[in-house]
Amino acid sequence: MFDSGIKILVVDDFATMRKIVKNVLQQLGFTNIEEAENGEEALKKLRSDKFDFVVSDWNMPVKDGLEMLKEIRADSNLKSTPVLMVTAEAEKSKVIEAIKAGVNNYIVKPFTAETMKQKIEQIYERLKN
Amino acid sequence: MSSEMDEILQDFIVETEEILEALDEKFVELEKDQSNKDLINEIFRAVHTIKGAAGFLGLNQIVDLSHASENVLKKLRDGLLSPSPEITDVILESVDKLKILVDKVKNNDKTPEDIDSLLTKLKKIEEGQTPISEPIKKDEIKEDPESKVESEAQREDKKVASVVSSNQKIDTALKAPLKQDTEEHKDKPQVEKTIRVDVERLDTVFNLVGELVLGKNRLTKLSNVLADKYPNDPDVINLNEAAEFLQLISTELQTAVMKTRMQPVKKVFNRFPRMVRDLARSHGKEIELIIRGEETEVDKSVIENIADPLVHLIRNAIDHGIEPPEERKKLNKPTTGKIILSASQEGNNIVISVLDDGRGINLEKVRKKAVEKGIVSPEEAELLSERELTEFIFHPGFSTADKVTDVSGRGVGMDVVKTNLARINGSIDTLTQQGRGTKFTIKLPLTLAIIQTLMVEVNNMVYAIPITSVLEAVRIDNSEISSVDGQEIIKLRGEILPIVRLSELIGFNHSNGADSHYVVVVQSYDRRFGIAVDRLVGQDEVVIKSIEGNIINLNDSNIFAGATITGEGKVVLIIDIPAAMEFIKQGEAQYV
Repeated sequence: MFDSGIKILVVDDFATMRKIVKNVLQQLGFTNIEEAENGEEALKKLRSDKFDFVVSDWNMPVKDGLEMLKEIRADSNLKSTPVLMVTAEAEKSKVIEAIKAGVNNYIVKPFTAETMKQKIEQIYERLKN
Repeated sequence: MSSEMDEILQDFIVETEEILEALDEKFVELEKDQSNKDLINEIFRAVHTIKGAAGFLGLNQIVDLSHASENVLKKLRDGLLSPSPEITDVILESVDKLKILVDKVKNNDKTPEDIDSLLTKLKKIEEGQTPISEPIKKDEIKEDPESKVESEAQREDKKVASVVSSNQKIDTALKAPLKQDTEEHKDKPQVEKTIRVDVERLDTVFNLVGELVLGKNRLTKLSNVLADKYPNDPDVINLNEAAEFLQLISTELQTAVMKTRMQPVKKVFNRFPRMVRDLARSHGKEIELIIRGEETEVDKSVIENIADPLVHLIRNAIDHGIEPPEERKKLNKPTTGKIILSASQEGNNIVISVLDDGRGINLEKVRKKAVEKGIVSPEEAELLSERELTEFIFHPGFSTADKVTDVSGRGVGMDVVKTNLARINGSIDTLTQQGRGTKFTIKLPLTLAIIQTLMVEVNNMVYAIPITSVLEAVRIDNSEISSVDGQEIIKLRGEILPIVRLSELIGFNHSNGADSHYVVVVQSYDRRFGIAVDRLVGQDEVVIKSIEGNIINLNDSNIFAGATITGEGKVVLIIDIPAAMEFIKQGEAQYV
C-alpha cells in the first residue's frame, strides 16, 4: 500500500484535466497535491520543493512529458522520484519510448480512480522489490 | 452528478470554448504557412486535449469527433498528408461541430448531434482521399460567421471574465491553474497570479463601488455645508479631512475595479481571421487581414457592443471594398487585398479602425442615389462636400451596391452600425478615396458605466446630458428663437440651429416663461441641434444606473438613457441624445 500523505505533482497544460486528475487522486485519499502546467514549470517546482510522486501528461507545450521525464532521470536529486505518465490511446505505441526513458508506469485516458489506484500500487510494489 | 464533477464539467466547457476559439486563428495562419509543423502540432494538441478530458466526462460524441480530427491532424503533422484548403475546410467544419457539441453540453441538451457524415469525411481524408473541392455554399456562410460571432461574443463574456493582474497578458490568465480547494501553497506565492471570477460577482462589486461613490459624494457635499456653517469647529475640520481622504480612496478604488473589467479587444478580433478567410474564399477574393493593437484593453461592456459593428464593417470591406484578383491585376494593384483592423487607446477613448485597400466609396454614385431617394434636391446635391456625401452611407435604407449580395445587404447595415455605436456613446468617421480604399474609424469611451455629464435644470428639475455629446452652451433671449415650419430654430454665429425644448422633451408645456434660456448645443450622428433649458447647473461625473423597465416621458417616448444619484442624494435622469434628436424634424438638423 501507499502513504496517502505523500506530496504529488500533477502536470498537465489543460486546467480541466489537472482538476480531473486531482479529483481522482483525492478520491484515493491524497490531499497534498500541487499542479504545474508544463514540463518546464514542473521541473522548476520539483527542484525547489520536495515531491514524492509525479503524475504527468505527455503532450504539452513548452516542455512535454517525455522531455521532462528525461530531465528528471538525469538530475541526481530527482532521479528516484516515481513518475506516472498519463497517455491517450493514440500514444500507446509511444509508451515504449517513455519506458526506455524511465517512466515508472503509464495510465491510459480515460481512467477510473480504481485504475489509478492499481497503477500507483504497482509502482510502489516494484519500488519495494 | 456530484457537485465536484459538475464543477469540472463547467470548467471543461469554458476551457474548451477558449481552445476552440483560439483554433480559428491558428487555421488561418496555417493556410498562409502550410508547412509550419509547430502550428499543426499546436492544433493537434488542442484537439487532443479536448478529447482527453471529454473521455472522463463521458462526452462520447466529442471524443469521437476530436479523435477523428486528431487522426487527420496527426498525419498532417507527420507529413503523411499535405495540407490543402479542402482539408482545412473539413477540419474547420469539425471545429465548428465541436463548438456545437460543447454548446449542447452547456445547455444540457442531450439530443445527439449528427456527426456521422463529418466522421466519414475525416476518415476519407485520413485514408488519403482528398475531398472533392466543393466551394462553400453561400447560404451556409450567411448564417455561419455572423450569428456565431455575435452570439459567441456575448455568450462568452457573460459567462466568465478573467481577472488579470495588471502586468499579465490575458493569455497567461487563461492557462492559469484553477485552485479553489483549501490546499496549502504558502511556499509558492508566484504561482497564483490569476484567478477566474464569475462576471456576476464582478458586476456586484462594480455596482457596490458605484453606490459607494454616490455615498461619498453626499458625504463630501454635507461636510462642505458644515464647513461653511462652522468654519472653525475642529470636529468639522476633522470631518472635512476624513471626507477628503475618502474621496481619494474611493476614486482609486473605482479605477482599480474598472481595471478588473478591462479585457483586450483580442476577444473580439480573434474571430475575424476566420470570418475573413471564409468570406474571401466564398467570394473568390484574395484578402489578407492584418490585426494591430489587439492587446488594447477596454471595458467588458464595450467589448460586448463592438462585435456587431465590426462584423458589418469587415463584411462590407470584403464584399464591396476589395476587388476580385483579376480586377486588381488590371488596376496594377497587388492581387491580394488588405484589410487592416487596428485598435489603440487615446486618452479615455479607444479608437478602432477598419481600413481596406479596395475600390473606395463611389461618391458620384452616392450623390446620384441621394437625389434619387429624394434626400436632397439635384441642386443641393451638387453643393455637397465629399465629407457630407460619405455621411449618406449611414442614412437608413441607403445603398450604393448595385445588387444586394448575401454578405452585406448594405444600407441596412451602415445605419445600424451608426445607431449601435451611438448607443454606447461612440462615433464613426469615414475616409474614402476612390480606387484607393476606405477607412472607418470608430471612437468609443473606455467604459460605459461612469460618464461626465452637464447638469441642466428645467421646471426646477435637474437632468443630465452626457458631456461627450455636448459641443457648447450658449445663452439666448426668447426673442432669438424663431420658428420655421413648426420647427424652432436659433441663429448661432450666422448658422441655423434647430432646437428642442427640454421641457417639451419631457412632456411639459412651455416652461416657466422665462425671458432667457440656455441652449446646450449637442451632436449626435454627426448632426447638431440645441436643447433649450432654463439653467445650467454644472458638470458632474456620474455613475449610470440602468432604469428598470422603461421610464418614458409624458409623450410616451423613451428619451432617458438611465439615471444617477447626485451628491445631494437626488435622482437625476440622463437624457439620451440620439433619442432626443428624434424630436427634431428631419432635414432640419444641421450636418456638422
